Amino acid sequence: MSLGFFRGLRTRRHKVSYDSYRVCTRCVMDTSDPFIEFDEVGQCNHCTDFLSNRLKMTIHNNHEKDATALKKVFEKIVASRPYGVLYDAIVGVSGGVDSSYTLMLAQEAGLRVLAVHMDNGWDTPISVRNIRRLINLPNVGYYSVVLNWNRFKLVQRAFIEAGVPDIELPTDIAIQSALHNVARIYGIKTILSGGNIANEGILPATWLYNGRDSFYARSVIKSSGCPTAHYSDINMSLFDEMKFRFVHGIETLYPLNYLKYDKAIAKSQLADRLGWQDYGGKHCESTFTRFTQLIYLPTRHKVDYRRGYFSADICLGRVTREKALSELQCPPWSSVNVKKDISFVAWKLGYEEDELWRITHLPHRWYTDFPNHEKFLAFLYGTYRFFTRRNKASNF
Amino acid sequence: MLRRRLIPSLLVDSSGHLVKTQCFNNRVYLGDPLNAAYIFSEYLADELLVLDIDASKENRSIPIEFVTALGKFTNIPLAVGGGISKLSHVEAILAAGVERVVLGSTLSSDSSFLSDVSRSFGASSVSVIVSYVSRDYNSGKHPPLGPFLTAVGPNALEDIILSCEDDGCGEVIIYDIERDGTSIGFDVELVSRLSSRLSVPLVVAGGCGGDDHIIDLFNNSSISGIAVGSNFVFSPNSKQVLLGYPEETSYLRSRINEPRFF
Repeated sequence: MSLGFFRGLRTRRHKVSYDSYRVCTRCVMDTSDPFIEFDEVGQCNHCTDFLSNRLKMTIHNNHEKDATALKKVFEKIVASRPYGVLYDAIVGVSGGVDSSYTLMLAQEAGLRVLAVHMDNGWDTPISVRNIRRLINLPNVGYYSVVLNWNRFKLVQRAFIEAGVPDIELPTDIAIQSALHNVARIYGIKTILSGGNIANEGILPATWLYNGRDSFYARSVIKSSGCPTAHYSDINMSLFDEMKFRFVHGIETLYPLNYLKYDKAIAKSQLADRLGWQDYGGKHCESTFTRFTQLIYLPTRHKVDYRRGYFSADICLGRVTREKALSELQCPPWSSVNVKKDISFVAWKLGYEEDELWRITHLPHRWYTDFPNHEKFLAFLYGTYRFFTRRNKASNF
Repeated sequence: MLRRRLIPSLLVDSSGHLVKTQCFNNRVYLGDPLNAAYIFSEYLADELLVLDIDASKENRSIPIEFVTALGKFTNIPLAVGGGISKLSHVEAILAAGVERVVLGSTLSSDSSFLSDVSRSFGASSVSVIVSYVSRDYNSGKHPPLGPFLTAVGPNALEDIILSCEDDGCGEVIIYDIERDGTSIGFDVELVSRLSSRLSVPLVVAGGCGGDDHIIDLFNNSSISGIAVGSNFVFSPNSKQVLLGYPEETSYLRSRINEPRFF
């Protein structure tokens, strides 16, 4: 346990400047993460941490628990059902496969689920239809949180103009904030998240920094001249998180870590049972996410999210490193209509098309270039993990 | 026979918010109108009705940049309205790829505008929207009548739409104020009477609460389309924001598209 404490405290991220391109010898993570570290045999810190620490949080190294672990989690939720509360758990639904599958599992286990959708103005037709299919299930309620688009647009613009890769951070934190607030209103104590280590276990902090660090988000927004009040609407700081956790007793669980989660199987089950539709591509249930992961980050930061997903798959033995490398040869945007996406995103955010294209090619920055509370948060998280005997399973 | 149209109706307010009203009051914020239009367009809605409900009050027309974007990012027929009071507005809006302009309150002060537009751009590119209360409020204590051409009582409504037809409008949209956003169903009797008197296509808005209402109205009147608000923008049981549109294979579609033999 004490090791975990120190691991949490170890936050010194020295900017290693790699003179040349380098890729891990075990997974496919490369120097597109400026803080990547390689050991003497050329294996990177991401896959090492994934294999030695993070997988322990999942069922993947624990075969005999497989069948019953998730059932026990759900049974516990049902057993501790408080009197007079309409729902047992909240699931945030985006229409994507992770959240849809989580909701379906919970519903089939007999939980009364409140599906909460946070609409940030970038919903796609398929995702909305998928949500409709989900909420038609018995014992599933629905609640929507719609962000004020005119203000949220400015926050997204601010992150783009600051040049950091975290342009999805406002959305992530708005989802957390929405889920926790709805949980508090309804008196629900459990949030079931579709987040999972099997697929998302390898994503460097530089690619998407911690949303709880409001100090960082505010300094990014200020640097672009956007009023920080717009961010306060959607923010959930670490203080808020602690309030929800300890005062309101709201806990977040990750059911997909309790089974051998395989996206392809999940998709086919959803399609069979609900008529759920695949949208192609990871996280492409939102136009902005698609733009971010497939066009913006690969162009501006040379960051390819597929590298993270492939690396996790390699560590789990689902794909060979050679196959991943060959698939990475083809550019991430090859599966989308780049011109159409750019013009839609540009119009929605209030840019000219060529203006957004120009911004996409400007020099980039990382979260370390802005004032942040990374070390302070790491200390708090480390302390919390130490006292609750938890292991570190995330970047922060 | 012509396909009976199900038309999502999107109301936009002065700050560019998509809203849903109830009895032309109590606005509920629904999000970004452009994304909603894009979603309905991908669902292949028969037509999209987009109205700027604050434009005429503020003496402006619906922002032309917004209409341009609508034309650019949708590929279904569009009907656009809100404060259109000049021929130049009409020209710009039609040039943006919009099928039909929707005229409303302008006609109450400038009755020749409709025939001007109809003559210049053709009857098929102009609709008139009339909001009405279906009872006669003799004391004048009727609810707020909204930003459109307005009528109090069924007879006044009939007079207005028949005179609009004479002036050369290609379509009439009638919007029941007291049913707006309530999902209680349509006034089938009134609608069927009006549709039998009118020779141009009639579109009915206000009050749709579900598939049954739509099927009932289509089967008992000869209207051309129904404009639906709440039912297409809220989730089925709770009034929470979730866009939706009946799929081509849905029960509703199969019922309203069947030809009537008698």
